[in-house]
Amino acid sequence: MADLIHLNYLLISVINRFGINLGFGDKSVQEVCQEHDVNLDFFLEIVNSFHDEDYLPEEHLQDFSVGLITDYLSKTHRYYLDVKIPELEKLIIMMVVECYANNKHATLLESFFREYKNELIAHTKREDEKVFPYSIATELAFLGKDNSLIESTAPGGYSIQEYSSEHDDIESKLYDLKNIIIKYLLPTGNQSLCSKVLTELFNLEKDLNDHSRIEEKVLIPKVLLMEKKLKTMK
Amino acid sequence: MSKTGFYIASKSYLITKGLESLLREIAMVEIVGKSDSSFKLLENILNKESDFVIISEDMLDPQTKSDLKKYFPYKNKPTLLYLKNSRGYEKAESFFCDSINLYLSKNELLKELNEIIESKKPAGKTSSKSSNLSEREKIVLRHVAMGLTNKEIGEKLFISIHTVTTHRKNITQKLGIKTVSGLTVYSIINGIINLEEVSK
Repeated sequence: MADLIHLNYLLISVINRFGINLGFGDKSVQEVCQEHDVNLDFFLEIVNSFHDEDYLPEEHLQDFSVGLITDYLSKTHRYYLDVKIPELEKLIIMMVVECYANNKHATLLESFFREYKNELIAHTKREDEKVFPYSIATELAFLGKDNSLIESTAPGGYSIQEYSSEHDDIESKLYDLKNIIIKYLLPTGNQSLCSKVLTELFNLEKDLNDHSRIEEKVLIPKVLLMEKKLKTMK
Repeated sequence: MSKTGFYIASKSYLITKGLESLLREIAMVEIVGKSDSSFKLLENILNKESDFVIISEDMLDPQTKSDLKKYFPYKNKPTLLYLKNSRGYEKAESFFCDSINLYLSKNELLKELNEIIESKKPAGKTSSKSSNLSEREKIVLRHVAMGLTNKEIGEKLFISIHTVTTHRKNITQKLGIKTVSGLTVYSIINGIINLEEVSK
């Protein structure tokens, strides 16, 4: 497991999401996963797809239950909202004071970031409260266990197709923020703070891209397929 | 300025990976697609909006050759590049515009590719000028930043929605900013509008 982190330190945040803490000594990935009651195969697919964009685990990931996938996605949401966003917010407030003291417009960055934050909160909330429960309900119905949940999670009918078409892109604002800092603001003070903020933004963007990739390439097709089969069964 | 798009066509895993990593080192270049089979190669190439297609020798079976001959070099875009795997000087098929040699060193390859990319660039457009908006674009940006919709902007400036969309596309491309609030921040920082106007 330690080798894994040495290979790609960005994975630290990913293993955190699985509830795995540092200090695992020389234990293998398998041992650590067992200890923390983490599905080893699932863990490996997620880690691989995060590490290497060309690694296409979509087919493998399709084998895992919707519950497992949405659980990971929800944990990722929590990580964004509870850890990353507050961290970045603090950094940006600091940056405005320390780097752009001479630019009276720099405070706009703060409000811009807050707008982004609200967008992200709304986005994750909708997924956590609507899309994920609906996906789980669809799977239950598909497995023939319980047909009643679909109606309660999605009153009046809903299709994952709707979600897929309105799956708004939460990366645009982040992209803009990066470019404004990179291209259009001249820092006069603490340069290293600016670099730090940018690095964090890039990392968050990569993380978000990976996250959306799992939603769009794994979750949506999987639920779509079950919806289709459920319809033909009726 | 928009990126130069490359398409890689080779059966060889090593060649594909090698080209990818090489192209990533060149600024403003992106890989828009790749193919590891010559089946329907022409169709695949035409489907992707690329500027250059690098084709290695192993892709050139008779069918593919005759497909390619029909379209190239008469078609303006993309430009086909031949990746030859020998030091020889044998003549490449006529549909290729240029060739690169598989056995060149990294620096030689980078130099050749850069020259090829430069030679195809439209003259007169320099990248440093790109963030300069035209007067018309600035006016459109001003209205966008104030929160007007495309329709409202069109009505105000007596231009069609279509024209407004085109202006907005160009603005976004030049500035590298996609969202309305991002454009507003840019406009305020650069004095295109002032804060009081927005908060009205």
